[in-house]
Amino acid sequence: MPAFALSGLQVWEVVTHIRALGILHDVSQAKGDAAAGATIFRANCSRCHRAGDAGGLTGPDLTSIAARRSYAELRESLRDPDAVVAPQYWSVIATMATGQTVRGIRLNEDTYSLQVRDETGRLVSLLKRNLKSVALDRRSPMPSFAGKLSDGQMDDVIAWLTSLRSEQ
Amino acid sequence: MKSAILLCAIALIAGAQVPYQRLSDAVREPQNWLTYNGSYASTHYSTLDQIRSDNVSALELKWVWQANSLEKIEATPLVVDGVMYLTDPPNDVVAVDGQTGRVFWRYQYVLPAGVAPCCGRVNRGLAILGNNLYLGTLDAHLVALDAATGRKRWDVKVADYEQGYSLTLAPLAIHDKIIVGPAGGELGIRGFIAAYDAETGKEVWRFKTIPEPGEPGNETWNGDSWKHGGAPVWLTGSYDSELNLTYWGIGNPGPDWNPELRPGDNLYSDCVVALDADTGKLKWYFQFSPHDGFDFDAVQVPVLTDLNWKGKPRKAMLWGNRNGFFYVLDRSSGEFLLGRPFVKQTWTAGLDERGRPIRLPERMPSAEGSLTYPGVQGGTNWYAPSFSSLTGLFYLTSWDDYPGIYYSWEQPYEAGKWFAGGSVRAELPAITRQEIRTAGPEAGYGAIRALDPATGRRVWEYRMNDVSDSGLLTTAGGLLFSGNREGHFLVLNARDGKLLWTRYLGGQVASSPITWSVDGRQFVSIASGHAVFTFGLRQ
Repeated sequence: MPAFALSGLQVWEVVTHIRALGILHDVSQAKGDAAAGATIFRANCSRCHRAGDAGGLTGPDLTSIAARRSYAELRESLRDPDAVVAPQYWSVIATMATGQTVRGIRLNEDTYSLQVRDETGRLVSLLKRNLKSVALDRRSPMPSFAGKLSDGQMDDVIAWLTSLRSEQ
Repeated sequence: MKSAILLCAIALIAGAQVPYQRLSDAVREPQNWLTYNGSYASTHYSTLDQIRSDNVSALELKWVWQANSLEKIEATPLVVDGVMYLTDPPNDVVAVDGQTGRVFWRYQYVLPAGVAPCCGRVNRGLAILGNNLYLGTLDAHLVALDAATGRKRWDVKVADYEQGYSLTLAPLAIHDKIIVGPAGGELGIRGFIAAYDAETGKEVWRFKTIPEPGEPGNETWNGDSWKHGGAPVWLTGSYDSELNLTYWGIGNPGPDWNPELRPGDNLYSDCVVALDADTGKLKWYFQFSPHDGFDFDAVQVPVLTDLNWKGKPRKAMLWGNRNGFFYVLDRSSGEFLLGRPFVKQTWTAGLDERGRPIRLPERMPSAEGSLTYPGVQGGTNWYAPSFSSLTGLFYLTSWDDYPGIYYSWEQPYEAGKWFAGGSVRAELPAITRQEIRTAGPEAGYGAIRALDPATGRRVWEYRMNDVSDSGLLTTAGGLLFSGNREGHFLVLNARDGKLLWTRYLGGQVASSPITWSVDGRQFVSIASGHAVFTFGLRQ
C-alpha cells in the first residue's frame, strides 16, 4: 500500500467512514420507536443540538452521529456525557485583564490566540496577551439523562437518530 | 600541455558567476545565501546586523512570491547578487528579482506519471557553482541549468525512481563536484552518496551507505537484508575545507519498524559519515542509533564550529538528533565528546561513554504496540538548527513530551513499494498542518530551544502551542528568526528567547528563513504555505 499524505483530520475521516460501515449495523439493533424519539429529542435536546433541519448550534450536530458512534457509545453519552468529550468540544474559561470572563467552546487555538464560540453563540477572538488566565474544561456542558429518561426513551432517541442516518 | 589546461581552467573559473572560492568563503559575503545551509559550516548564522532588537518592530513586508504549486515548500532559496533562486515544488525552478519578487525566468521539469515518493512531493532547494544551478528531481535525476537563462545544460539519471529512489535534497557543490544522495528509506532502497562532475554530469565517486558483502560493515546486516536496507540521504551535508571532509547524515534502516528482520547495527544507517570530498572514501563514522526500530533518521544538518573544549581547541560538530539526544563530536576524528537528551525520551537508559545508546528491548516496536518517547517525528528532524557566534549557543526546533505507539509486522520486499514493517500511532500529525487545532497539552508541544554546547543543558526555550517544522536563523543583530506550523513568522532575542516580533503568514512554515541584503538593506525571507515572504525595515 502506498503512503497517503493525509492530514490528521482526513485520516480520522477515513477511519470514521470505515467504522461507520460496521456501526450502521450495530445501531440498527436499537429497539426503539423513532417517532417517539423525535418528540423526546425536540423536548430535551434540540435547544443545543441540531439534527436534520432543526436545532441549536451550541453542541455537536447529531444528524449523522449514528454513523460515527455505536449504540453502546450513544447510550453512554446520554447517561454520562463526560465519559468521552472530543477536544473540539472542550470549553474554555478565559478571564480578561478587566476581570470579565468569557466561557465557550474552544474552536481553535495557537500560541497567541483562541477562537471561541461563547455561550450565546457569538464567535469571539481572544488574544492571550490580554488574558489574566485561561482554563480548559474538558467536561460536557450537557446534563446526564440517567434517571430523566427511561432506557426505553433513550432507545427511542437512538432509533430516531439512526433513522436520520439511514435517510442520508 | 598540463599548464595550458590549467590556464584554460582558471580562465573559465574567472568568468564564472559563483566559482568554488566564493562558496568556500561564503561567510565573507553575508549579502548572499550561496548554499542550502548558507555556508559550508551550516551554522545558519549571518553577520548581517542591520535588523536588531531595537528596530525589529519596524519590519514590514516587502514582497511575496506565490508558487504555482500547492505542494508544501520545503526549499530554502539561494540568493546570489540580488537574485533569488528557488524551487516551485516539486521540481520547477524560478529566478526571482530580490528587490521586487518579480520572476526573471522559470524552468519547468515534467515528472513521469508514476513517481510516488514516500513522504510528499517535496524538494529542498538548489546548489549553484560557476554559472550553473543544480537540481535533484523526484524521478532521481540531477539536472544542471544555466543560471542566467534557466535552460537545461545536462540531465543525468542518478537512480531508478521505479525502485523507490528520489532526490529531495538540495545538492552540495564542492570544488568541481556536485554531491547528492537519494531518499526512499520507506521504499526499500539502498542508499548512497554520489559526486558528479559539475561540467559534464559524469559520476566521479559513489559511497554506498550500506556496505556490500566483503566490505567492512556488511556484517552488521543479516542475510540479504542489506540489499533493501534503506539508509537514505535526503538532506544536504556540510564541508570542512581544511580537512577536505564532507559530512552527511544518513537515514533510517528499512524496514523501519521491524528491526528483527535485520539483526545487527545496520551500518551506516542513522550515522554521520565523514567522506574525503575528492574520492568519497570514508574517513570516519559515528552511529547515533544502532539497530534503529523507530525511524530515527540521522538526517539533520551537521553544524560545524570550533570550540574550546575542556581547555583545548576542537574542531567540533554539533548535532541535535531525531532520537532526542544532542551530541558534540570531534569532526576530525568522529570522537564522541558529549551526548545529552534535549527532549523526553524513553527508548534508552542513556548513552554509554562512547555515545552508544543503552537499549531497552521492551521499548522496541511490537505487534501489540509499544508506547515510546519521542514519537515518530523525533525530538527534532531535518529542520535546520543554528549556532550563533555571537552568543555561543546552539539552537534547535524541538518536539517534546509526545509519544508514539510503535507497531511492527512482517514485511516482504516488493520493488518500489512501501517497506516499513509496521506503523506508528500518534496524536500529532507527522508532516502536515491542521488548520484547526484543539489538541490538549498531553498531545505534546513544539519549542525553540537554546543549548549550551559545552554541557548540552538548556539555556532557554520558547514554547509554542503546536509543533514546528521550521528551521532557524541567527544573526549578528542578536536575533533568532523562525516560523512554525501554525503559520507564524517570529523573531526572538537570541540571548534569552523573548519574543520580539511576530506576523501571522497563514501557512505552515516547513523550511528555514534566510537573510541577505541588496544595496546595504537587509532582508529576511521565509516560506509559508505556498509563498515566500520577504521582509525588511521600513524606510
